[in-house]
Amino acid sequence: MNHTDLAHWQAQFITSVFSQDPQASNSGMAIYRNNLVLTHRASIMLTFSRTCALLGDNAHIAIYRYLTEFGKASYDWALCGEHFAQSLAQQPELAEQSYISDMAKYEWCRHQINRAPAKPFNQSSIGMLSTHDWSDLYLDLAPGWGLFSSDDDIPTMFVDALEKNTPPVLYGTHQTWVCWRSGNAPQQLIVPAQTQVLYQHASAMSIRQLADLAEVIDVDLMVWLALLMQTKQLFGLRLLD
Amino acid sequence: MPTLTQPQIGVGLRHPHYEAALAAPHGVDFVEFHAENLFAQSDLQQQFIQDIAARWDVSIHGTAFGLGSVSPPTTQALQALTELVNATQPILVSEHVCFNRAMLHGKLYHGGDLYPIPYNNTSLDVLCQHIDIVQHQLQRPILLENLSAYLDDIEHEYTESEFLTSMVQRTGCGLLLDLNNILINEYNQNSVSPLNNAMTFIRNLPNNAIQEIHLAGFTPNKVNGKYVDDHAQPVYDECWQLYAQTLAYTGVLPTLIEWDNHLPDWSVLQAQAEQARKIALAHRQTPDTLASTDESY
Repeated sequence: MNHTDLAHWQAQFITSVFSQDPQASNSGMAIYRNNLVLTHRASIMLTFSRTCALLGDNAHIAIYRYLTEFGKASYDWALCGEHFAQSLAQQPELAEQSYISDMAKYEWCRHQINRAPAKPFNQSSIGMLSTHDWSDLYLDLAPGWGLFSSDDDIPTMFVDALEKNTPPVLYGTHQTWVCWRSGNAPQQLIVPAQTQVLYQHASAMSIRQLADLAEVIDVDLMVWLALLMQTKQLFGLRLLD
Repeated sequence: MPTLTQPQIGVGLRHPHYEAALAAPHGVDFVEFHAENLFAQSDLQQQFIQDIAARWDVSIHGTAFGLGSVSPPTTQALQALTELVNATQPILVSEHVCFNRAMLHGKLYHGGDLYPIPYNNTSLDVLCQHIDIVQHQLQRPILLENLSAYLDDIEHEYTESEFLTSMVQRTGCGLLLDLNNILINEYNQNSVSPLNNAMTFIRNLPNNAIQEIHLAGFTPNKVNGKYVDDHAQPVYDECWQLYAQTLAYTGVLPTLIEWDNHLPDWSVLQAQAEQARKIALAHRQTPDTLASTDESY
C-alpha cells in the first residue's frame, strides 16, 4: 500500500461512515456510523437546546438531515453547528415557521459569544481620542459582539422555549438586537432604529467614519460611545492592526 | 519515564462532576481532560483551567488529532494544543493510534471518532511523521493509545504489537495502554483465553515505553454483533485482573479511570480510583526490583 493507496483507503472509510445508506457494509462500520450520528446529534442538541425544543419530535430528523447535507469538517465538535440555521431555513416543512431557523441563528450567536476569547477592559484607551487621528482609531468591542435580527421576539422565546406549553411570541415586525459578552454571560439589547446604521458599521469603520455617519443621522457620537461603554459593549479603542 | 513507587491514580473529569470534584478532590492524584474540550479561550474556561490545575496534576488526552490521517494536523489545532499544554503544564499528553479525516471531492470530512489504521509501512510513515510534528511543536514526548477496533477485514502487514513497537522506536513517543480496549478486541474476536492473549500482547510491547494505563468498563450488550468500548460502566473483574498482571510486568504507572457515559456520582469514581490504588500498592516495586525486571528494546 503506497501513500496514494492509503489516502484512498481512508477516503473510502470516511465515505462509508458518512454514507446516507442506513445499511452499513458490515457490522463494524455500522458502529462507527452510529457513533457519528449520536455524537453529532448530542453536540447539536447541546448548542441548540431551544431550537430542538421548538422542533420537538422532528429534532432528530432535522439534525440527521443537517449531517447528511453539510457533513462535518472541523475537529472541534463545538463548531459542527455552524450551518444548522441555514439547513433549517432550507427545510420546506419549516417554511411557515421561520422563527425556528431564527432561533438557531440566535443560539449560534450566543454559542460564539460564550466561546469568544477574553479581552481586557481598557477604559483608559478612550484617551486616544485626544491624542490620535480619528481615522486611525477603531472600536474595541466586547467579546462576541455582533448583531442579530428577526421578525420574531427570539430572545424572549429563548427564555420560554423550554416551557412546551408556551406558544411562540411573534412580533411580525423586524427587530435587531446587539449581543455581546459582559462578565461571564451573554447580553443583548434592542438596537434603536435611529442608531441602527451606527451599530451595523461599528466593528468595521474608523471613529472618523462613524463620526461622519453620526452627523448624517443627527446622532451625538460621544453620547452613543458613552452608552456602549456604560453597557460594557465597548472595551476601549484600538489602532488598526 | 521511571515507574513509580507511589501510585498516581487519576480520573477523567467530565463536566457534570466539576462542582463535586472541586469540593471533594481527595483520593484522586490527577485528572484527565479531552484536549479539544479546553480549546475555547473564554474567561470561564481559562478560570476553570486555573481552578483545576490548582488542585490536581493534569493529563491532556487528545481525541481529534487523528495522527494516522494522511492529511497532517492543522496549524490551528496544533497551536490550540500548544497553548493548552503551556497553560496546564500537564504531567502527560496523549493521543490515539488512529485516523479520523479525509478529503472527499475537495471537501474535508472529519469523523470525530477514532478510526483504525492498517498496520503497514505507509501507515507507520504517516503516523510517525505526524507524531514528530506534534512532539516538536510541544517540545515534549507524547503517549499514543491503542484502539478498540471493530473491523475484521483490514489487511495488516504487521501485528499491532509490532506496529506499536516500531512507532515507539522511530519517534521516541510513549505508550498509553488501554487495558479495556485490549480485552474488548479479544472478546470481539471470540478469544478463548482473552486474559492470556491480552497479557501476551502486552509482553510483546517494550515495557519501559508504557507510561500510562487506562482502565474502563463497557456495556456488555453487543451492538451490531460487537462489544463497544463505550466507557459507560465501572471497571470489570477481568480488567482489574489484567491491570494487576500488567503492573507485574511494567511496575506501577500513572493509571486513569475512564468513565464517559451514563456518568455515576463523583463518589463512585473516587471509589474506582481507590480500587486501582489498592491493586497498584500491592504491586509497588523498589528501585532494585525494577532494575531486575527492566527489559530494554
